[in-house]
Formats: sequence, C-alpha cells, structure tokens
Amino acid sequence: MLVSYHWLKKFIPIKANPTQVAEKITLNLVEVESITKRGEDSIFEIENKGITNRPDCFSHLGIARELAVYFNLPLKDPLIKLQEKKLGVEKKLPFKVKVSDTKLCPRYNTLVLTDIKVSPSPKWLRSAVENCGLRSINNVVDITNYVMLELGQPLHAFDYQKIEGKEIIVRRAKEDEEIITLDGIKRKLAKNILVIADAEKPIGIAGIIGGKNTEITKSTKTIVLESANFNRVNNRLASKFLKLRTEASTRFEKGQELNLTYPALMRAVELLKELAGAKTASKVFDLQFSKIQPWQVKVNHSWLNQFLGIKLTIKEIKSILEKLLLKTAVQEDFLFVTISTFRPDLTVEADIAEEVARIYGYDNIPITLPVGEMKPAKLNKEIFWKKQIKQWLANLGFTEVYTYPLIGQELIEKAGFKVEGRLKLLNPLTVEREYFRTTLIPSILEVIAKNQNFFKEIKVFEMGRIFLKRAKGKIEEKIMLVGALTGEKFYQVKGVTEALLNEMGIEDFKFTQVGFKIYDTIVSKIFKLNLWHPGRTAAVMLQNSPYKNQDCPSKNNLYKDNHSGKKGEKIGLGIVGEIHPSVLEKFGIDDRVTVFELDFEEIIKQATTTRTYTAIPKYPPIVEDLAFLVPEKTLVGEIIKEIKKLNNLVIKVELLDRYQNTRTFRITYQHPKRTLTDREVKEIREKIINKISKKFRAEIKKQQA
Amino acid sequence: MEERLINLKNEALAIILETKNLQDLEKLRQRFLGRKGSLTLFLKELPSLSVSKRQHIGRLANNIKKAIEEALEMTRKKIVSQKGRGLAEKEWLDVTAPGIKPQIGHINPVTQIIWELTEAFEKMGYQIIEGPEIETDWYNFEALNIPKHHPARDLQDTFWLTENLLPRTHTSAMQVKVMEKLKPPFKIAVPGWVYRSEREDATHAFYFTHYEGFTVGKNIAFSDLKGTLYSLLRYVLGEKIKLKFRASYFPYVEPCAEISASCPRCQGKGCSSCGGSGWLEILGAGMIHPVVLKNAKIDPKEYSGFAFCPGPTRLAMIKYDIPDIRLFTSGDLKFLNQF
Repeated sequence: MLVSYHWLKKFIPIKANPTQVAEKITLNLVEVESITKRGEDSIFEIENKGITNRPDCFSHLGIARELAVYFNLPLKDPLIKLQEKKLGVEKKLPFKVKVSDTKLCPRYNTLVLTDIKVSPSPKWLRSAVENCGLRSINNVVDITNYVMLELGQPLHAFDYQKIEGKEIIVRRAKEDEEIITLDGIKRKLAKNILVIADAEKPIGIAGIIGGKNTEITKSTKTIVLESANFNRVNNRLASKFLKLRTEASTRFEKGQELNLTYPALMRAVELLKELAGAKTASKVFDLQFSKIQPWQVKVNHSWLNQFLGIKLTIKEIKSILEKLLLKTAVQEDFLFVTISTFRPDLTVEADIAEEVARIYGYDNIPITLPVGEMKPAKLNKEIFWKKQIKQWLANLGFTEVYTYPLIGQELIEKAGFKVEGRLKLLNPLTVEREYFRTTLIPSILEVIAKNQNFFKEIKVFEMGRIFLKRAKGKIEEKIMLVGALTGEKFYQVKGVTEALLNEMGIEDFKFTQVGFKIYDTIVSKIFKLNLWHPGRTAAVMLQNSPYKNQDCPSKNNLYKDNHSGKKGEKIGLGIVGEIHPSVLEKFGIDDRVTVFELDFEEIIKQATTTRTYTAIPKYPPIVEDLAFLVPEKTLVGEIIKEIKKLNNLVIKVELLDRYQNTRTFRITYQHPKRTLTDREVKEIREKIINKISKKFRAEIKKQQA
Repeated sequence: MEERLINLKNEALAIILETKNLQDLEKLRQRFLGRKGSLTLFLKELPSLSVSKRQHIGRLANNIKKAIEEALEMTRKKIVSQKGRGLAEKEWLDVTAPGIKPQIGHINPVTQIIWELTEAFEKMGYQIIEGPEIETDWYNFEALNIPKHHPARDLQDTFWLTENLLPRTHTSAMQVKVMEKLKPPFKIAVPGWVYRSEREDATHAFYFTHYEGFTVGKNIAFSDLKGTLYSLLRYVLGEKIKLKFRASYFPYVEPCAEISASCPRCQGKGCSSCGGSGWLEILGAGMIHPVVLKNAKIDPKEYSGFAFCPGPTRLAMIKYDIPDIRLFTSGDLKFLNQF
C-alpha cells in the first residue's frame, strides 16, 4: 500500500521528516519498503502482508492514528463529525434498494445524487490518487477512490440512468450469469459470488469491481453512490475464483469495519457537492443487518509484566493503551480494556500484551533466558547417524549435494520410469517440478552430467526423502542415502558400502545378484526397472531376519522379492550397482557410474555404537595362500563364506588375486590360546581344499607357504 | 698369553674406533664379544691355566672386555650423533612444493549450518525432532490459527497435493503435532526442508530449510525469547552480532516480532553484503498464540511459550556471503568444493 506523507499531515501535526516517520512505522507496525519523492510529497510503500490483521491501517487515517501514538501527537479524527452528519433530499428521484443475502452484505449505505458535472479532477485530487498508485479517471470516480485511501472504506458509483427499474438488489449471482467488468473483461459468475444487480442484471461484483454497463461517463448526470460492507470470506473466495484482486477486495477480505460505511458515504457526498455540484436525490439508505459494539478484554497487570518480562506500573500500561484509543479501566490488579470497533485484531490478553510491547518498544524489553527444570538427555538416533554418515562419507571423498524432491516427466522418463502412480502437485509452477521423486538417482545422474566436464572423477552423495503413494491414499516418506562414483568402480563402491555398514556396527549382511525384481512391488509394478546394469547390480540383504519371532513390519521394504510380512522374512538394506549404459547415454554421461542406495531407516534400525571387546590374540597367526582354478561365474563370495564356515580357527579369508579363472585366497589361522602347530593347520587346509574342490568343482593350483 | 690379550685389545680398539656405521659396529661386537668371538674363545682357554695365572689373566681379560664394550658404546654414540650431520644437504626437500592432499569430500553449507544450530540448540537443552515434509492443512495452517480462506494464507504461497495435503510451507507445521504429545515444560527444535510455490530467483527458492524452535513452560516470557535468539544467533554468526526486534504479523504468535541481525561482515556499518543498511532480516518469532496452545491441548492460562524459526539456508547465505539461494541445490561441485 502507498501512503502519502503530506496526506498524513491532515490528521496529525507531524514534524518528523519522512525518513524518521518510515523508521517508526517499520519498528512499531510494519515494514516501510521504500520512500519515493513525488514533488513536495514523499510516498511510503508499506508491506501489505504485515498488516493483514489490521484492516484499519489500509488508510491514511489508520496510519496517522498509529503515528499519533508513536510521536505523542493529537489526532484530528474526522469520523466523529461525519458520523453525525444528516442529509436532506434536494430533488427526489425514484429509487429502491433491497439486500437479499444479509449474511454476505451486513450493511448497505447508499443514496442517489444528481446534477453531477463529470469532469477531470482538479490537480490536487488527481495527484492524490495518482501518488497512491491509482489511475485518475474523472472527478466522481476519483472521489470514491480518494475516500477509500483516506478512510479505508471502498465505495462505488453507478450511473443512475443505466440502472434498470431504478432499483438495486444485492444478491448472489445466478448460474451462468455474466458481466463485463470495468476493465472490459467478460466474466462468468458463480452462485456463491455476491453481485449488485438492477431489476434485470448484475451491474457490479460486490466489493471487487463495478460493471461496464453502469460506468460513470462524461454524460452521466445522476449517480447511485454505494458504501457497503461485505463478508470477508466470501469476498476472498470470489476474488480467488475470478482471479481478480482490486484495491477494494484487498480491503474487504481483511474485514472492514461495519461502522465505517456511513461516515465514508458522508465524506464522499461532501466532496461530490464541492467538486461536482452534486445534489441529493434520495434519502440515505442505511440497511444494517448486524451491529458491532466495542468489546472488553480483561488483562491481569502482573501476568502482562511476567509475560513480556518487563516491570511497568499499571498506570504506565493504562497510558499506553489509552494513547492507542483503547479506553482502560483499572480495578485492583486488572485492566479492563475497551476495544474500539476499528481494532478487530484485539480479542485476547496476548493481543493487549503485543500492543503494550510494541509501543513500549521491543528493544526496551530485557534480555533473559528461560528458567526451568532439566530434562533427561535423549538420543535422536536419526539425527546422530545422519551426521556420522555424512561426515564419514565426506572423509572418504564424497561431496554432499541436495537435489529437488520435485521433478518433471522428462527426467522421470529419462531414467526409465513412468509418471503414473506418483504424487503430483495440483498447482505446479513448472513442468520440471511437478512430481515427487521416488528415487534420488535420476537427480544424482543430472548432477554428474552437469559436473563431468570439469572434474575427472566425481564422488557425490545425497541424503534426502522419496515419496511413495501407498494404498488408501496414504503417503510414505522415506529417507534414502545415495552415493555415486564415476568410472568402472563397482568393487570400490561395494567396499564403501561394506565399510559404512561395518562402521555402523552392521556385520550381518550379504550382497546378492539381482535381476530386475527390486524396489517394492507397488513401485515395481508400475515402473519397470531399466535403471540398473543387469550384470553388475547387487541387493544388500540382511543375512538373518531381525523379525524371527514376530511379523515382519517392513512390508514395504524396497529391496526384497517377497512381501508377505511373515515371521522371519528377510530385509533388504539397499542396492549397489552400475547404472545401465543406455540410461547414462540418455543423461549424456560419458563415463560409467556406480551407485549405492541405502534405505536410511532400515540401516539405522540395525545400527549400533555398541562393540564387544575381544582379547587381543597373543599367539602368532599362520597366514597362507591357496589358489583354485574355478569354473566360469563361480561366486567368490560363496567360496569365502564356505571357507570361513569350515573351522573357527580360520579367522580371516581374503581374496588376494583374480586372474582368468584362478582365484587366490589368503587364509589366516589363529588359535586364541596357543600357537597352532603345522599339523593342525595342515588338517584344516586339507578340509578346505576338499570342500571347495567338491562344492565348486574347483581345482587346487599350487600351495604356497 | 698376556701379550696376546693386549694385542687383541689394541687391535679391537683400533678397528672399533675407526668404524663409521652401526652395521659394521655390530659385526665387530660379534667378532670380539660374540659367542664365537675372539675374546670369548680366549676365555674358554682359561681352565687349562694354573690357578694363579688363571686369576691374573682372568682379571685382565675382564678389563679388556669392559674396555671393548666402552669403545663400542662410545663409537655407537659418535656414529649416531654424526648421522644427523650433512643431512640437510643430502636429503633436502622443497617444503614449499604443494602437499599431496587426500581427496576429502565437502559437506553442503546448509548442512553445516544445521549442525551448528543443532549444537547450539542441544547446549540449551532442546530436543531435536524431525517431521514429515507432506502435511495436512490442519497442522500446517489451521492449528496455527490460520483458518481456511483467511488472507494470512497469502503470507505463504503454497503447493497443494490434494485439498487437504500439502508439502509443508514451514517447520512450524510440527508445533501442534509435537506439543499435543508432550506435557510442558519442553524445548523442541525441528530442522527440515520446506516448500513454497514461488518463482525461483537469486533470493527466492521453492525448496529451502527451516529450523523451528519452541519452548513451553510456566512463566516463559518474551524477554526469554530475546535471550534465546541472542544465544543461538551469536553461536552461528559470531559473538559480536546485535539484534533488532520489530513488530510484525504471523497469526500463530502474539506478540510477534521480525528480527534483524547486524551484518556479520561489516558489524553494522553497511557493506555490499547487507545492501548498505548494516542489518539483515533473519527470522520471525513471537510468543505462541493462545489458540495454538489450545489446539495442542495446553492451557494458555497455565503455560506460555515462544516459537522462532531461523532458516539455515538464509543463515548460510549470510555467513558465507552467498548471493544466490539456488546454489545450495545446484549440485555444482565448483560451488560445493569451497566449503
């Protein structure tokens, strides 16, 4: 809203300069966003949203009322006189008014004025409305706008000649009714929209905009002047429906004061007589269907001081409130505050506290810290592990990125998915930000594509949410951890995943080769997974179900084939794999990309900081290497598992080398309580060779000591 | 016999004192004093001597053994001390040449601020809780004293999923949800991402972070809110920060304040980072509105509380002088590698 410095001076004898005035308004009421010089005058731009609760401040009088308090000045309030003003009828013309929806129009003031000479406005009027951002039209329209800017009450003038039946009816629009509004646009109305109509048709949309059919023109001689109050909620709905915000609707939706219609009408008549030669041609209609009286708020003085952390006397508080035109009676430790009808925002004690605080000055309130009882320390596992994991990955060279949870169809399809079955915004801003993601990976691939020309190797990770549509309209949010590394790095990424899980105290997991049946059934039914490299992808599964004796709660686990939710069902933690080359091509990524994706909630369910100390072995281990010739596609993981299983004196099995079909394992034997003898080792070794040769059709190559 | 011993001693001392390295010295120890060393062998001959001679020669041999041991030790010390000499020349390195850095990744600056705020909150006894990003109209708006069709809804441009579901526009959506499950007193902080249906530019994002804090208890005062904000913002932006409180309007707090901080770059003098004003708008705060407490089934007559919401994204822009809010979510490693 634009406010003129000079105009304010009509109500208060202010000496402070515009900058000082703006500073005070900003500190005590709402931000003044700018001050602009207009000739002699200075115009303040006030941030509307900050006075959403202050309909009275959408006017010069309202702002002046506030300034009178800040600067301790007397206020010249024009409303009192206007309220008492009575008008006679000079030249009676036929006219009728009817309000058929009194809920949506609790008060309607109107009268007919004739002998009007429509002309351009005098200079002072023109610049007054123009400086406040409105277009000057003619003296009649400018006067209605001037009064609105001055007092806050929107007004409207209709051309009497063009009103059918010389009758005004305030009613809801009929189905399919249309109106061409003053801006020249033909608008379709709906049943909940309140209109001002004549005997036949709508001639204005109540509280929003007038109709072209009754516009004031040069030839207008007689007008119907309206000053009414309309229901704020309905006004807002209508304005939203029509996608039309006007100066009038901005004021009505905040809830204009019911008592303002009459004085505003009187003020406009006064000006129309003076500037357009108007003569009254009807009585003043005042159709009032609801009344508003000042109300009282009772506030305890000690409570108020305690609530704000200040120590004002009851007198000081009373004096602040009375400066704000809130009559206050004191009784013992209580203040009985009578709220003027222009302050609908003041209804409870806290509202009064705010009035006292802002006038006393927020900066004058002391700085203290709350005093209270101690609470036991509680660990938030999620917060703890989030930080641990992020720091740990960064130390391993991964950089943390954030990407948008809202993505577009193009990206979804590039990654081999479809848009069906996803959560979708009703009102997206752009097509790129329309759907909620169900995986972080496509966005991570975009990050890689964007950076690939500048970095030889890219290592990034993100921890963020995915959003899944579940049965019965339920939405599941999951936190996912995704890391990506460029290059042919399957084993490195697998190693990072293993080390990360170990770091979190998780040991009991294995990697299983997967085809395409990953991601939970609900998702995979809809989205065929073409994202992963079919030969280089593994699911990370827990070896043993954590739910041996109870139904598995992770029915919607993303990484398992079976979703029965039965006892003992195994749980997947994530997936490690290369991205399918054809997907990479679509993203324009030249290198290979290996990704790990972990379900954060599943892993932190297993995570623990507990470790159990085992005695450091005193006796020397025996280390030896065994090389086997194995058939094609023999799974090394299975061989290692087998060797470990054979004897608990085997404490470590590593894959030392893989060359063609030869796999060399380094085996460490150790006894916790004594030195192993050659004979004991030989026995175990033979068992290993026997078992591996049989089970995997392998052949021992040569034995190295 | 005696002569042979003296000769042995002289020979040993001469060679030992000439020795230049520790390996050779060890060899000499073996040669003279080892299991098959010449002095050891000599001593093995002792039993064949007469008693009187044996005593005399024995004593002499022991003295010689000591002398050789002393010579060995002396030489060892000499070699060790000489080893350092000339090293500066022989093994010179250009210490100004770049180090070989391990590749270390970078934590997004937004996360870094979230961690700093978490630390500050925890030190003040706040419990950290997270919540869903998709919320109901009730928790995001109505419970916070923002009825449907209220113009206050214009304060936050909102995306909608259905008539009732939306990606939350603020972490304040967690206020009533958390409060209705707790009995005061409590101090809660909620970090998280929020959504606004706003066109993106350098200072507007549709996806950014909030870190809501709220406290409810007996006799909680507006002045306590001031102290808490000083403490929190100084922890992140530095001890020299000053705060300015001014009146504002959010329907879920009353009294309501908008807080600006003195620019941490120019300490309020005015610079390009703060647009010359010396002040930066930082957050909104206030005393929790009685309607909000009632919605959480807390009696506003018995308890009071305050709520405030710093934005880690906003604070990161201020702390690191980042001019464009879109950089945080750009995934641009040239940006992220700076943090």
